Amino acid sequence: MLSRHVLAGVIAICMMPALPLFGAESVHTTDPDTGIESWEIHTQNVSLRLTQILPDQVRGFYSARGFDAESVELLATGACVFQTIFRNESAKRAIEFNLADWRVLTAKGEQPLRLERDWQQEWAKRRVSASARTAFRFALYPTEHRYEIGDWNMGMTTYALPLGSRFDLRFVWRENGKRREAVLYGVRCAEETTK
Amino acid sequence: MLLQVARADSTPQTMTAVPDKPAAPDFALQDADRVLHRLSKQRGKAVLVNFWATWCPPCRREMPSMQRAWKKLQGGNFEMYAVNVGEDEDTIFGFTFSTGVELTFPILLDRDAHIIKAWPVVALPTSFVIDPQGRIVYRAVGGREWDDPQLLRQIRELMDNK
Repeated sequence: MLSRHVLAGVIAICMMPALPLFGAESVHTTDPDTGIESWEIHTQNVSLRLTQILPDQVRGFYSARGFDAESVELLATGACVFQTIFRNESAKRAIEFNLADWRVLTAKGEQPLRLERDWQQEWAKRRVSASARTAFRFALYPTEHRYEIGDWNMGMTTYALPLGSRFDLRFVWRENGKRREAVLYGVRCAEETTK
Repeated sequence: MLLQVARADSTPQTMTAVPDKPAAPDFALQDADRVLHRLSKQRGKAVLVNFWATWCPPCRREMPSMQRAWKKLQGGNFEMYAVNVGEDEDTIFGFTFSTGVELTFPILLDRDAHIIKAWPVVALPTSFVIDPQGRIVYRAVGGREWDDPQLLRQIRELMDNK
């Protein structure tokens, strides 16, 4: 027979919010030449890697694709931008994801990513050219996708945080209809000059 | 950046069968030499259609392997189209010189990104293999090593079933 204390403990555990079941560690690396930092995690048959993109790199990329100077500056300093690689590493199953489900975790709470559709509304208001907006669409990580076995991709994800901010990223996907999640810890937005 | 994508080499190279084999949307696009290529004229051949851009690291990374696959398969019932999305000839020339590999398969220009809208492409690179009947039979999202024996075998099986 369960004691009252054990029973209370079991009830408390059952009432806890769902936490990631797998304690995979985030691996942090710094490029010795550039000072650019990356964070990577392999867990539950997926992997996620974020690499800082410096504001000057953002400026160079979008200036070359037809964005006006003010819009470029909005991207370069109004958000932090990461090169993002997300892979389905399962040998058996497809996965699906929606970046709208991902959350930035900071001491102030949690917030969603800044998604492509948010930016596209801004570009429409600013009358950014169609060709620049097309380049933007494919340069950003797609908001929703299904990855079959072996599928992966690379693209930019953007976060409405000041340059230099630290955060954890809770990322979410579905495998066989079941929700999975994990956290990439200790990510830091680039600053104007990282090194 | 290339170091980040190099990991694709060590992972199994796969394409996914596309359910119901939908008809491939036709296109007629010029290559960098202004030669017009029409997809529907390739009936009877297996066709690899790859959507890419020069600024996309995994797209750049897979190009040499596409050239190696092209060398192994060309001359048979095979065609390969690398459809560049949204860029001009100068940009593409600059890229092809930088690869250190002579790319001899047709690189087509979808300069206004009109063609890509008719295809189920969410991200670059995305590649499709079209069977000799003009149907999309395989899809691959993200870069691949296209001269991988498994991928070549899947394409050759289609080439044999014209």
